[in-house]
Amino acid sequence: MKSSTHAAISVTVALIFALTVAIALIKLGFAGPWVTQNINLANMFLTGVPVPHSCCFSASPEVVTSVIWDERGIDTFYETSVLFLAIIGTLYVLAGTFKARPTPEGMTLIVRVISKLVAPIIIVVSLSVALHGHLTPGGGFQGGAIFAVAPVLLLAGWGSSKLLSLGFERDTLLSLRVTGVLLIALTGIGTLIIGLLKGVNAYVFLNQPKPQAPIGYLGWISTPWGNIVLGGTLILLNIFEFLAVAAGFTLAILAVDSSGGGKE
Amino acid sequence: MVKSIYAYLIVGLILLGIYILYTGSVSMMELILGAIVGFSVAYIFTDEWIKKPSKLNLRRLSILIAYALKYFTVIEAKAHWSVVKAILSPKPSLKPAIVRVPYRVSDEYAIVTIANSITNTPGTVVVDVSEDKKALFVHWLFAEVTEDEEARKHISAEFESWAKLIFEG
Repeated sequence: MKSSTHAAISVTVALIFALTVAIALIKLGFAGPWVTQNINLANMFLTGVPVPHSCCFSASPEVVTSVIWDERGIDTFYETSVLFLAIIGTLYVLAGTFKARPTPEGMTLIVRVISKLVAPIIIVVSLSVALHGHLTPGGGFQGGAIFAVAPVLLLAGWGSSKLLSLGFERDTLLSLRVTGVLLIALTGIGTLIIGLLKGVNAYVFLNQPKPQAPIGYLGWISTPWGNIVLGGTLILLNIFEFLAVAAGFTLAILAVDSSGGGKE
Repeated sequence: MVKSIYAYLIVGLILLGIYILYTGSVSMMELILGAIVGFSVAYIFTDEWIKKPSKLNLRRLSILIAYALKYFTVIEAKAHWSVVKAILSPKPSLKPAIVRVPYRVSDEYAIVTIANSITNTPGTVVVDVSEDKKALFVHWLFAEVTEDEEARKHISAEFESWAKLIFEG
């Protein structure tokens, strides 16, 4: 088949799919210029999350992160576990092929210099995204995914020997990744343990105190310069998720590169 | 590893600045977090960024700023104008060619500065670098001359003299 026919078919299929979804949403009353009301679930979160003492208060102005890590925390934990297992699987499949290769040929001085200049800037930005997940759009997963761009650039410009010399070693990354996932789990069951010890009600992935469960994590710190918002578990989970995702993606990239997939 | 505390402080402060710029808010909390982040990342990358800390000084920085000001206003405007004329004229006098442009600097930052200055001006794009022959291969829209030295005079002589002042000597 010619590539132009291929492209035409792909575009047609994509357009038909998009139109079907649009028509279905309009027919069901979820979309269109005449829809002016949110669905009930959205209203519950939008009005509940920022209000203290409500059922879903998260001590954070970021509704999306609150839903991801507080209201649906256990769900997100299993998503993280899926990524964890996927990376374990990748390493298992590529076991034994993990070794440093020399600098790739064909990359000019320009790519090498610019990649080493840009890599630390990417890492700083990714940390900013992860550390502000409870305040602005972003979070641990997004930050970790941004972080992974830095090793990709260094790999393209310098080869894996550079990454190894900078300390991106397999065992270090693997321990960081396991530590990240373990700390997420510990943060999740932390309130449960305290609740059992104190003899009060508590839930798994409990963030702020609830009417039925009177314990919770530190939501904010009051200082003379103003309140420092922590969002309870949100900032902790974002940091641990950043560790897990950043180390995991870097591991996967290194593994695929060293198995010969990075260059042909 | 960090060989020079002076270089480490400078790289750390630059990264702290980038953190604050990206975060978009200045408070006690942000400054502390930014310093932790900036100086930790600087610990890994300082020796990659700066090989000879003794070359860092205010004179070079002020020349760099002067070059940036001139480059982004005068040089860019001239280059844009020549391409705008070519686009708007019914019979543009185009003579596209790839020419070899030798350079006489050895510092890697100087070479990249020259290459990126060439690429960023409309009409010229660096397509390859030969480090053993010390030459850039440049696609030039108005290749009036094709000899190495003549092309260098037209394309990169000014960038090179600035790069030499900033990164060498």
